[in-house]
Amino acid sequence: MSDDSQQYKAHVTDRIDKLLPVFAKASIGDFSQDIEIPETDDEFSPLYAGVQIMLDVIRKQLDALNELNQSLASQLSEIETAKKQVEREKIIDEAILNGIGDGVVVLNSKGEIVLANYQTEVLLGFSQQEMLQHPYGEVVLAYDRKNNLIPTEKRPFMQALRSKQNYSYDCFYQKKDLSKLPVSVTAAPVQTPGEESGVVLVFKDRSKEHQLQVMRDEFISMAAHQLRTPLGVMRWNIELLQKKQSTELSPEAQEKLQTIYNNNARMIDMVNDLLSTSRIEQGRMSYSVEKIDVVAAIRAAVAEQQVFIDNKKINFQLTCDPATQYIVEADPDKLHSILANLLNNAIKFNVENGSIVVELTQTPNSVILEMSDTGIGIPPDELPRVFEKFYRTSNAIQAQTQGTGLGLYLVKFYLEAWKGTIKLSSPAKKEFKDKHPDQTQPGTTVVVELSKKRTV
Amino acid sequence: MTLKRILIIEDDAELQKIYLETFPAAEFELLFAATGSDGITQAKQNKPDLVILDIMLPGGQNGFDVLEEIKKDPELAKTKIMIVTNLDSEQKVAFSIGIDAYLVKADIKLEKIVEKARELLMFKET
Repeated sequence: MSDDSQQYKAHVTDRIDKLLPVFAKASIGDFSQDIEIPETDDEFSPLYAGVQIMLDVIRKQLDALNELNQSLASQLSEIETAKKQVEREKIIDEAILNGIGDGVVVLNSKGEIVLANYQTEVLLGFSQQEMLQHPYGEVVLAYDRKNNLIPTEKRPFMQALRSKQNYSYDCFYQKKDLSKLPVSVTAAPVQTPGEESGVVLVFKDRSKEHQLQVMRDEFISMAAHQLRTPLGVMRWNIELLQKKQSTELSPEAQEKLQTIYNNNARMIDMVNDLLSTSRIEQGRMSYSVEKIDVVAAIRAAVAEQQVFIDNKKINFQLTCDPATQYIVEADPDKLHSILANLLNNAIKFNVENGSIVVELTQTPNSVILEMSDTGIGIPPDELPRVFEKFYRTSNAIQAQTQGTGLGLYLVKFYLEAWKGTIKLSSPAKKEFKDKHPDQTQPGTTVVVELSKKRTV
Repeated sequence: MTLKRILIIEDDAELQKIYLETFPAAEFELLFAATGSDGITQAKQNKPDLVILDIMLPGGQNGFDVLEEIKKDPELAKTKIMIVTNLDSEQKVAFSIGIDAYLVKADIKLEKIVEKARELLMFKET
């Protein structure tokens, strides 16, 4: 071998050796090592330059890859965080859903159960399996307070589905063991984007409230019954005394006895009103039907309260056509209660030397009774409230009159039960006011329409 | 004129006194029982023309128990029964078992009871 070729070989070896550390590192993925490009230009120079360009390109691509990697990694961790958040929220939502004391049920557009919380299972006794995918109206039956089954179409969830409005309702749910649970139900329609509508039902266990109400009604009912016994004995004893009055009692004693009798009768009426109210609350009001002569019924109610009319020197007037009969089909006790309560108000809230005018007219289907008085009237802002149970107007309280606040509540209830109506206006109607120009109080006019046929 | 016999099953002594004063002695013979069981015994023994019956009675048997016992006894088939009570809610049930009148104490005049008794006994087959 010549020296030249020896030298060249050494040169080549030297040149290649310079590349080796770069390749060694590249082989383990490290492209950081630059090539030392010899100062002398020779046939290896393009190779060196080429490898260096490759290194640069690789490094750039690696950098880009790294960057991408990092951004992917950070996105991934964001997704992870979000996922954890969703999971946590789901757990919290479920905990809330299962932790609250109310039953929560979600229904789809067909009224089928898609979700029922733990409390629903507890309150009603149905398992998830018995509820999910089944029509709510068939799984959970609802009854009104008279224990009548409420038809599915009338239930709040159906109304919410139909009308897209919130509905609330008190009723009784039938549990799996067939017992009844008093509940307050609220149904709210849900519309999620792109999906069919559904309903979220929330129902509250009303047992305690219901129990208290039952206890209150039972108490009122019992107290009223207990009161009736001595009141009844008093009444009959007074009647026995009155039979003897002409011979044995002085006129003053007779008069006082009559006052006692009338007040006793008022107390019996009040106790009966209390009993009726508790009976309405319990859904136990029953009606009988008889043909009743309204004029005779008015006369009877007036006779009972004649003493109160006389005491206040009230001028009472009944105008009707004496040639016609005013006959309605009604429950005699309820009609009496209506007339007695209206008359009692007209007397109680009247002034000394005041007037009460009752006018009877009739249409083919009804008898219309109009009663106007010269009493203290009803403040305009309180007019809508006078039919509320136990409501007494501010001026009634001021006038220190006595009353239970049940009279008009019962009157309206009885009337509506047989499709009658009542309208109150205060001041009294103009015609009446014009006939009593010396009266300064606003007065009241009551118009009652009694339907002739009972149509319940 | 034979006296009409009325058995009054009523635990309130004051009401018993009132009945005694109200029914003319020339027309009616009054018997009293203050409990349901005494009422049943007396009804079977004395065969009254009319039983005036309260519903709430002391002791084990109330007015409905008495009513059922009387209805079961063929010998008392002609006995009229008038319930006079403070409960105004039992009318339907009472009539379904078979009574002739139902009066609510505090709501009626005393005279009404005598009128009703006369009315029922007048139509009674003898």
